[in-house]
Amino acid sequence: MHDELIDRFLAGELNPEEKASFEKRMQEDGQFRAEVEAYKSILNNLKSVRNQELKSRLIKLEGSVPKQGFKFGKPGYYILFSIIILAVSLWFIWSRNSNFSDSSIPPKNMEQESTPTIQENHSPNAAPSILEDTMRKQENLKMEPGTKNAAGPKDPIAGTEIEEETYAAHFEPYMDEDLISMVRGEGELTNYEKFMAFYLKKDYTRALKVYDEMDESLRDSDNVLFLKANVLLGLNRSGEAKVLLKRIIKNDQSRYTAEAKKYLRYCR
Amino acid sequence: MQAFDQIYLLYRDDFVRTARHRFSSMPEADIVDAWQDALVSFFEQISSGRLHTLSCSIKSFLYLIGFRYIMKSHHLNLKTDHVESFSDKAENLHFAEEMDLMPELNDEQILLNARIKELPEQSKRMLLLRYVDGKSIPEIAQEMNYQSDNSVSVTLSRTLKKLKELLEKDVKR
Repeated sequence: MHDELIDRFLAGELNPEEKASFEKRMQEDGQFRAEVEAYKSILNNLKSVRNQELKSRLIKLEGSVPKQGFKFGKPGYYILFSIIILAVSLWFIWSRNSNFSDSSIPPKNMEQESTPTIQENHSPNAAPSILEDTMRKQENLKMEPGTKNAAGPKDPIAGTEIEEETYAAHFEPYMDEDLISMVRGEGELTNYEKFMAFYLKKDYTRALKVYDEMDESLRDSDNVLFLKANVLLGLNRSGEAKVLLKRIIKNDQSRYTAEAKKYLRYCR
Repeated sequence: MQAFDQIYLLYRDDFVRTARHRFSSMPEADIVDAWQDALVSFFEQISSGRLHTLSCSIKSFLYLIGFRYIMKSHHLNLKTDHVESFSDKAENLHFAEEMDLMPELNDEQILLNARIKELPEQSKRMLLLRYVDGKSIPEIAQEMNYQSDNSVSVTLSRTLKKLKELLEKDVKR
């Protein structure tokens, strides 16, 4: 009766007397009011869920639209014209200068200088446990040769031209040596190990499913949540990923806090 | 839904071209995004019963909403009379100019939406039929082939309770 009444209220099916009586009860009973308000907030979101579903359908449909080749618009012609003028001017300057050049000057050494690289400190005792190392920050991790850099993908805002590109083109899930070592492959895998295995295989749908079956204490760990955020990014659910990453940054309890800031840039 | 897809594809390229002409510096991805939002809003207005008839062309109606989304996403506050720029002047165009655009979701709403999406398909569909489409319990039972109205009521009630619990858990975290 109680549930039915709430359902009819939420669906707007109560007659004026029933509605008045319902609202009176809400005023008098704080617990009842809180329950109804919680349901109302859920229902307010349902419309946006429907909208998101429609939008996802259109995004999928957009994928089927054949992409047109580059066409020059007005700005395109301006750019092309400027490039031609610049090229002609440079050629003119170069050809004039070359007449006065001193052939006795030896050419510059064209050998490319090696780019200095940053060596990070090695931490041989890196603990594999995702829970124990919560406060261990990322700076001390070192990668084996051939292993993907602990920083994961390229910094998405490193170059201005990169900013123009879509997040999907850049996203690479976070990966480091410790993560790879967590899946031993002997005996029956725990849910956490399964999660890691799917994560490393980039099977995000199954990873997310196994995540929900994991022990609650693990699920709540900011380190695991960071990996979940990567899974969500891999599934193009950047909105949800953003919420998790912001939480990790705010808590500042995870070894991945610095990485979370970096990955937050992937979230639209 | 096929008609929905067809409308999307039918005017998509022309909308992109027209929007590029109007908002020359706008990236195409943003224009396409606005076009998608316009279609979704159009569908929402129809399904909610706020829009029954259209006295102007669908194209003009959608373009107007699309332009509003572009301006909203780029915080353009140019107060221009959109309707004036359409030859197809009609009451519906004013409706398109005045109607509410979809709001941005806050963090809590994003999480809640994710929880709703994780529900079994049947439960989710039932929630949408009941509380978005405004169908009665007997109508839902018929549409979803349930043998009794009571099963529908029980499923709805359980689903809402489950969502409420999940939401409370999320908030505590």
